[in-house]
Amino acid sequence: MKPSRPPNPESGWLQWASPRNFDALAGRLVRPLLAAAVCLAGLGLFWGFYLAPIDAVQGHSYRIMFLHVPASWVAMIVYLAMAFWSAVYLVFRTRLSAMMAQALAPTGALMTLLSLVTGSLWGKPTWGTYWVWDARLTSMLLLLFLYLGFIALTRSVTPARRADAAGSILALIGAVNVPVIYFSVVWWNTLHQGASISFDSGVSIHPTMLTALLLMSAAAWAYSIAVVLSRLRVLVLEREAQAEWVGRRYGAPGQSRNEIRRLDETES
Amino acid sequence: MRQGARVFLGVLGRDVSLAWRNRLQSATGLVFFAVVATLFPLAIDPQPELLRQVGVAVIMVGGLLANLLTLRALFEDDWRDGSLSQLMLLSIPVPAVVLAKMLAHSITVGIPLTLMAPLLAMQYQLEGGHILQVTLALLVTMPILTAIGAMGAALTLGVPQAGLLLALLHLPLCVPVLVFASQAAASPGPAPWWLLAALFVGSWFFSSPAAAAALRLAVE
Repeated sequence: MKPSRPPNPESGWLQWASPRNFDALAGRLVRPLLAAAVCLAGLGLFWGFYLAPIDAVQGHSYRIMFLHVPASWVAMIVYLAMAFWSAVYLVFRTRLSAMMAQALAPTGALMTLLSLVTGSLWGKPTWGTYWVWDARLTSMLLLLFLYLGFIALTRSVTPARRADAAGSILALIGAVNVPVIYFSVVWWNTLHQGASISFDSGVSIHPTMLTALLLMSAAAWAYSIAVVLSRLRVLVLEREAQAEWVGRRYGAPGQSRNEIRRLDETES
Repeated sequence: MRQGARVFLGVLGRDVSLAWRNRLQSATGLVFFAVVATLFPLAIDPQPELLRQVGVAVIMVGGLLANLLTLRALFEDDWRDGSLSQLMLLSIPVPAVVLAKMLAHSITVGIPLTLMAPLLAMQYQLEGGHILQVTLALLVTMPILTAIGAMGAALTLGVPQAGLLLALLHLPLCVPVLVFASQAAASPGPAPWWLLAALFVGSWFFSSPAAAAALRLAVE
């Protein structure tokens, strides 16, 4: 039997946990992802607004769905991702994971807000009101508060190490509570009002609409990943500003661009 | 084992007697509860029928906010004068210390607030059996709110604007408690009581290790 060796941080999946390697990778990924987001969104909007047929019941107003559904989807998954990276941080103590959770939060909050706003704009023509205390709307609103609490906590706790750990604990507490909150709200809603609005009325979706929806979802994902990665890069650079590799790659104040490039080339 | 129980009871007794000596500070929640419940009928039409409808909601929300108001004091005073670090060095584990402090908070804040509920319920024209139901629901709710709040209080310990931050963290987490407690207080049937009991057990089980981890961060 071979003796077990400690994992080498310079190879394998752990190498991306090093801020230096991550920065190089993210720098290469952001632009293609943003380009993909723009292309997919253009295609999706064309499909959704031009090719997709008009809805028999809702007329044109249903088309806001092409923004609303991807935003809600991203909003919910991003919270799970935040909880996942927080758990990774608490187990492996990789600083980058905690920073990842902090980079995800503003995007999640923005998407939740977008989902609430488009939802209420959609609600006015279909239900006749901007807001109902429906289970989905209410739990989306609470999700927004969870995001805001996380952002406020990680921004106001000092030093950074404590902010990382405190934010991770909070994200996990929130993730445990999300199903409880959701089911309590559903239960409260079914007790208080009859099913005046039904989402699952068995309307099958036209294939063109589905294509547009998938394109827009892919665009939302590409955009979110690109924004999260570039936000994470900024967080890393802020945190590691004193580190040697940052000076070599981005230069000390007053260093010219050519000097920096030469230094970076000699490094690699 | 016996030694551990003695230390646990010591922490509990210390917190209860501290709360008794700072009576004015401990009464903040009670005064707030009474003020909210008194102002509410003045803002709406005080017809007995309407009051009976909103009474349970006002008592539940008022109790929740009054409890929230006192949560900051759970660790803050001990942290300020340094005794929190001493408490965390005791021979019992830190989650047990948190548990003792949560228990003391439930006794010194939760029970007085619960005892005030029947008086307020009478102001809202509730009937005999219903008053008892509201009071019982509040009796179960208060410890759950303390347990959830202990995590928030530990996370925001020593942070500027901790009060606002605590309220923001607390709000989404206490929604299930509010929903189930209001149902338990307002409607017949055992279902909400079981759910409240589940929340009670779950929150007391999970909150002490989470709050202990947050406290270690704050004290480091």
